[in-house]
Amino acid sequence: MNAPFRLPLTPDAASDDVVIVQNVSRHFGSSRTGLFGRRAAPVVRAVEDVSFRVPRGSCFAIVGESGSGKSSLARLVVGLLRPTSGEVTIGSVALSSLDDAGLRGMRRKVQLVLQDPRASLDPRMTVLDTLAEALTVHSLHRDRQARRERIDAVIGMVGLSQAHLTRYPHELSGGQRQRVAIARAIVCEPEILVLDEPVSALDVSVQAQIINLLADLQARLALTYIVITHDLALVAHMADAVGVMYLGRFVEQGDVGDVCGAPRHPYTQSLMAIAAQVSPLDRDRPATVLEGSIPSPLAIPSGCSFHTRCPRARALAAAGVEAVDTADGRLARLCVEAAPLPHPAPGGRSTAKCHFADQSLPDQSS
Amino acid sequence: MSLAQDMAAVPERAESTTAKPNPAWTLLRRILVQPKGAVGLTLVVLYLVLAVIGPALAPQDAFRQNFAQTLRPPSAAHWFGTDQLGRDVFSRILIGARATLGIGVGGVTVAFLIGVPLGILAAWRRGWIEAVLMRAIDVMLSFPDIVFALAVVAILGANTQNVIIAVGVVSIPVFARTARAVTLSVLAEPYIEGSVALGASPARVIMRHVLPNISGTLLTLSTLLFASTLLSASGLGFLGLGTQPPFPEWGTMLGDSRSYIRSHPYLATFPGLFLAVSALAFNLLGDALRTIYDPTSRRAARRLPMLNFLRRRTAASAPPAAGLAAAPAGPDAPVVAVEGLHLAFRTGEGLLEVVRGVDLTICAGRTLAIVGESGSGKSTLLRAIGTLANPQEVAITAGTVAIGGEPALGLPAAAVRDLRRRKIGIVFQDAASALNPVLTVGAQLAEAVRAGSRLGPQAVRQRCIALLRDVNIADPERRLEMYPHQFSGGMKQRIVIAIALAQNPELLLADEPTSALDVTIQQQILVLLREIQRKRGMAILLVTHDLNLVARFADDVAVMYAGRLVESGAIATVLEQPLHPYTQALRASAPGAGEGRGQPLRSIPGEPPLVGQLPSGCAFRPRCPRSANRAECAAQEPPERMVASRQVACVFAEEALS
Repeated sequence: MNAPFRLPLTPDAASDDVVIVQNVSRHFGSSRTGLFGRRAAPVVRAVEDVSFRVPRGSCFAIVGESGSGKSSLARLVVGLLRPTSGEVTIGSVALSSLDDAGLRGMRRKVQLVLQDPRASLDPRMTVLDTLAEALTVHSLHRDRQARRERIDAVIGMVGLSQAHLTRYPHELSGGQRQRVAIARAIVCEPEILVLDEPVSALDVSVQAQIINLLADLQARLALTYIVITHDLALVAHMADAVGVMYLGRFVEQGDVGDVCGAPRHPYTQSLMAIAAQVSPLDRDRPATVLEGSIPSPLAIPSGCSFHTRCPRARALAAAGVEAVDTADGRLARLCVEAAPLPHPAPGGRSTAKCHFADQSLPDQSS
Repeated sequence: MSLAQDMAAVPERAESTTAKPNPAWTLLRRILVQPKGAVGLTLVVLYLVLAVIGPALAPQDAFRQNFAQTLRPPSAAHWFGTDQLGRDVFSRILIGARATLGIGVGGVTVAFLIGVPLGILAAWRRGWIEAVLMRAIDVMLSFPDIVFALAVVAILGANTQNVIIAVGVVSIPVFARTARAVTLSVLAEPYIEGSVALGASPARVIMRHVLPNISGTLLTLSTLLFASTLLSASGLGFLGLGTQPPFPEWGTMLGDSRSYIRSHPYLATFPGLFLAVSALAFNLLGDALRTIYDPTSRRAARRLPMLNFLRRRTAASAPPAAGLAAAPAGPDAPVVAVEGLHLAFRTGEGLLEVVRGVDLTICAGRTLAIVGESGSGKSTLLRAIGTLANPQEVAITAGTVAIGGEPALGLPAAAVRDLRRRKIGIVFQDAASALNPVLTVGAQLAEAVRAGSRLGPQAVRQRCIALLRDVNIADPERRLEMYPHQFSGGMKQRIVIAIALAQNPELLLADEPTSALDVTIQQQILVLLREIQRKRGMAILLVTHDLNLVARFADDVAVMYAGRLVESGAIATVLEQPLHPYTQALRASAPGAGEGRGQPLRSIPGEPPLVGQLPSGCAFRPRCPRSANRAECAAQEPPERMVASRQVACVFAEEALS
């Protein structure tokens, strides 16, 4: 597991990968030094040995549920968290080579857009102040006139007007607030936007507007996106490549057509089944409902960390594969005891960390 | 009613766009337009004037003792009477103003300037700095104020300047602790992370984002501490360490009068009055400043005149809608029957209609899903049906609601509670806040089981265990002893459902029951609800914004827009061939609805309208692709009518059929 793993994604285009994440892990709570010596705190393995590359101008999606570590991973990419091990490279700069001031300068290139625009904008600053702050922080457009011109241009880009500049966040609607949050992110001309659940706090009829706006901005400004979401339908629409996270690891990653079109990991399969738009006519066909909930990241299950909820491990055990009895039922022995290696898909454009990713599946018929 | 606040908050504000002539004048004007600001500022200015020219105004020599005239009540010669040494109290108060205000303002300033940075530092750096600072402050707090101040004065020497330092130092712990607490809560806000992610330096984050957001609390604290600082100073004076006699200072005067409080109460009255009013003055001014510098507090300034309040009370207690016929009753009646229901928010500006004429019925064993966006009135409707609408906030202006054949509106409070208990179970979005964190799950379940019944403790326990089994919680005997925080989000929602089922309700209301849960858990909860419904045959009213979820789990759907049901009918009919342009757009705008990758989604232009600001005619008209400025759409609110076996409120609904 600890051997450096290189994604089989277009290795020839490596020079244009604007974000490279190599074997990054982040643990919380280990060896915290309190006032009275070391505390033996349990270790939370929020992110464990994650690698991916994002080519310039493309969109990479990180999918997972709460507790999967996807938000920690986003903050590792932005440099808000330092990895316990591994390396994040932005452009050609390794983040570990930067001090705090260097990281702050780097953030001009990498901007974060948070989920809930109601909370992510300072309630005491007008839209103009919010946008001007971004420029002040990075000493851009020092001239008053130039600054105002830049702000006017950006506010138009996100589909708002100059009349909105004097408003406070609580005087805007949810969609307008998210537009302001996006404007703040792009005002200092970044190369990369990290979008943390960019539409999930918005009204359904407004979500599509924001998704279209993001697509439009990506094309106009040649932006690279990293989108964090739990919604595979959104991923299938926006992203070029995707990593599906479960308990801090990517269980399946690669080209979005492969992962969303023909998922091979049972976890991705169940997420995809939920995300598919359902016709009320064929809803009696039972959807795969996963049992149980995500285990605590304090106590990650042995072997394949998904085995406690895996319908495939259960079906394989029932079909006669060598099995063991666990608290979660009778499961295939391999799943409980050995951590799966990434298995590349036949086309080589995605990998799934499942022992039985390529086997003919008995659970499809049963 | 956060919704009502949102709605009222958005109207345009043009004032801030006008050119600012002079910031100082603007500030003054904004203080004076608030009554509390005007009173506070006037009083503070009066006190400051008093501090400057007080000694010049004093009608008599404040130091001249006259033992023939001790402890006299107020008279023409001595307006405020005389003290135990026969000195004129009025003159002493005028002369003492400078020292008093100096000590009060100075002491608070010292405490503020030292305490607040310490508190912010502790909150920002955490770790050992915080531990050391906070323990040191705890040690300071463990000494009585006066002992601490005594020590400071004893070290530095007794004069007014050192008294200011002493009383200031005493208040440092309060400022430091408060500043740390509010800073911690502000630091947890996403906009702090946002500005850090922007690349802002720590100093900038603190100056631009933390300080403005904690200033309100600190201002209020300062005005409160102003009075207690003066009292500490008077305590020092009493011990002979404060302002030295015979020089007057209000706190010391108050202290001196203590011995005479029974025999000559007026001696304490006047210094006390001046002290109290000064504290009030600073408090009012601080409050006014806080309102000005906190843009979010301005919307809270909507206040209702007392008369209005009384009128609302009478309206709330009157039975609604006398004009409407009695609700259908009898054994075959549907579980829920709503007719012509109109609901309105009560606001300072009058009633804002939020639900504008809703008819619906739900039969036993069926699930009706109400789909709508925020502000569509769906949650208000659900609460009204569940007899949970707060009459102080929501007025039922017309219509009837019947639950299980019994009218549910206009009942006395006891009857409403009884109806709610017997027939209605409720599941809200946030299971974590629906459970009491300090009671075991068993205690909370038992409470729901016992309500209105006389079961023995053993029977109650058996019933609780059975309920937990019903919601598929394994090992229920052990789980009863556990506290809510020991359960995951999905498990908590199961427990909330078990509580809702405790009285075998005929109707289960579920307001976004799965929105706070992970996608895989959502499915489990919905499957569970369906299973329980099959077993018990109850009706479910589900409120959600997620059409996909509706397609999987509901029998009927009602799409709500701007307070009306624009399309309702059986799930297959409505979702397979939506006729209302809003339903069509909702279905088409979701990712994965058949658009190609990289193609834009078919989004709905604009935003949902605000309550009370609806366009004329059809409320969806400004966003509607079908309307295209046709006169029929603007002419009148389209009536609900039956088209292709569903109710739809669109004049041109048939166009979608061809």
